[in-house]
Amino acid sequence: MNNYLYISSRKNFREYLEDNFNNIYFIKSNPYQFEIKKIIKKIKKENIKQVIIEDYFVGIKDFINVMNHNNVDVKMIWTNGLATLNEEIELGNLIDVMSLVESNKIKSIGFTEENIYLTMQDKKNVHKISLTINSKDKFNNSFKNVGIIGESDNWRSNMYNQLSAIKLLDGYSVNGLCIKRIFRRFCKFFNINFKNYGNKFTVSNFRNLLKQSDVISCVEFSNYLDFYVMDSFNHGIPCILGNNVLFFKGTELEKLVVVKSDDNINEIAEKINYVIKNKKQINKIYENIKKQYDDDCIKTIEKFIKE
Amino acid sequence: MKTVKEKFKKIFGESAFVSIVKIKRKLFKLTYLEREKIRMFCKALQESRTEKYRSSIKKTIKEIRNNKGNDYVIFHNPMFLGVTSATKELFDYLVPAGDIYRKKDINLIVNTILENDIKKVYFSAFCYNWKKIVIKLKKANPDIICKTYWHGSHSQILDTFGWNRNMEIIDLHRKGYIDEMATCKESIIKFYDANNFKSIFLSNNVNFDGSDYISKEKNKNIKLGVYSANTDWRKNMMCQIGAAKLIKNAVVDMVPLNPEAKKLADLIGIKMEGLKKPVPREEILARMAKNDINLYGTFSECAPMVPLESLEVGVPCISGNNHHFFQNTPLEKYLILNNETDIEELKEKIELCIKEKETILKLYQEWKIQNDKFTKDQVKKFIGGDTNE
Repeated sequence: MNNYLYISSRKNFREYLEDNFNNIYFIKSNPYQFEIKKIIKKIKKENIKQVIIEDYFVGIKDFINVMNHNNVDVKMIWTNGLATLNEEIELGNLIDVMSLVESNKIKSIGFTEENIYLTMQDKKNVHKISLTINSKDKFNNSFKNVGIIGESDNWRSNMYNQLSAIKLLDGYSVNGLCIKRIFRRFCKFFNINFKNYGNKFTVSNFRNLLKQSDVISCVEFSNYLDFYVMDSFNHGIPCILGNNVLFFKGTELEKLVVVKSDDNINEIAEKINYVIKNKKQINKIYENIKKQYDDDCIKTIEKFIKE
Repeated sequence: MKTVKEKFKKIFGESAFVSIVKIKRKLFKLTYLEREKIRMFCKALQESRTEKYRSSIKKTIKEIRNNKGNDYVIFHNPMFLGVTSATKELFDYLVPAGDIYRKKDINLIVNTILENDIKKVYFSAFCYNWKKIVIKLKKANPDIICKTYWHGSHSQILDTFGWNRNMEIIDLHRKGYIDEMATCKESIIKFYDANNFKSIFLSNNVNFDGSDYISKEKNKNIKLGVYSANTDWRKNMMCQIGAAKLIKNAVVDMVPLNPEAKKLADLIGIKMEGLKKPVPREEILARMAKNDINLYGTFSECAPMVPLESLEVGVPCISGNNHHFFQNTPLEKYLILNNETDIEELKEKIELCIKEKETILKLYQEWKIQNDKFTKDQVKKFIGGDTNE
């Protein structure tokens, strides 16, 4: 495997990223100067020839200049989507990054989200990258619990339509992660039972939630929790998904687990019911699709690294 | 304050500044509700002394008096433009009112309603302290019928002001102060039933003669209209602009022209034009009429009027799969996006709509007849029905 260093600020996804890349270094999204110096020292010491940066971090321009000065190739992987560019900082960061790609300071950039890739594909050195997670042991749960993944205060997560849908299911409770006051207030107001599986989005907290859930509801408006979705399916816990998942686009699985309208409480509830009743069939179909997907992921990553 | 921030960043760096902000937030742990309360308190303090506020109260009182003898009155906030348009289309006896800050104004409004013998008081959306009006009305005269017409959904919970008002409505309904809750979000009715709320579905509608706006000019480029879009997450502005990238010779017309949208358009190489400031509804309709297709692929809606307005002026409008219009009709395959983030799907729909424009407009006229009837029937039920039905 090529000699590279993968730099990421998503330390909470360590286990997932290690399924895709070797030699990962975790930093904060706003690292101090001494942390940047530490990375530079490591790169020089290990004679690393290529650095792959995942998403933007504060101070990235100066870091890239140092890398270029030391003849280290810099590549970038952008994991956010087109819909989130409405956030001014996000858009500004992308504009900065693309100007670095134009000026060859960043050798190439890979987008994990299909839509943003389609808008950029006519520019030079732009790739589509897919990431995956290795298969795991299966759980076979029947607790009358629906796990919800997402952030209580993030519009993308569409939490409250999902909670309302679970209210329509007879006798079901909610398992959640990082549950905030806004979530609690909603559940208390409408008498929805819930349990919090931890105050940090970590893989181990998520897997504890999986162990106690029949299915997972992840009906996002704009997907950004692909890793959790995959991890859930890998453990034999199917996910109900929002109609924005291009990962399953055009497959049989899409018809079974993807809701037509993310904004329709009734449809989400019906889909949850359906998935609970047809878990075995859904898991079987997923396993077949995943084999092909994993092969595609390995190819995209290898091509990106080797180029 | 701005200079202090900038100096700090210059000396200690951006990372240090971000860390200080995080520490400050932890030390002054305010919940989002407490922040909202503080905000409203400051707003009340500031605005209650202004001439603008006092004259708005006078206008409210005047309109209540003007509606003496009418079957009902419906309160609406003129600052909520979409809500006001929707209310005007469905109801007759409108009373403009905003947030009410002073106790004496609440009492004045309640007394004016009682003095003018108005038996039915409806509220289109809800504002600050309207709940006190409802409670005082019901305590003074339990026979008065109070109903609400809510234009929101559960996806909008992050809009704290709006969601707090919704919770007030539901709380008042649970306690018997509000007799019935109307909503323009069809998919929420079952949820209300599950919670034993008395509710009714009221669809929005448009009733103007669009033929005055219809344009026969042919565009040199493919002109796509994106209106009422901004950086609010719901509006999904960026995906709609992204889709224009996949259409040859596309030009996007946007009002108001959003600076972030312009930046993205420049980055990906799309031509964009428009006006920076909002304009009156008539001007928007005129601009809509000149486009090939209008786009309204938002993430969450209740009963959006933009698609109907566009069709009225003779231009198909593609919208997200989040409302009840055109569902299970021939128009669905043309005008409803399944996946609002899928720009390839949006591109295909745009091309299909351009090709089948006449078919779509014909189908719309047929659909409209049924929608108009349904809307009128529902409004009759809402106005005519009472708690004993």
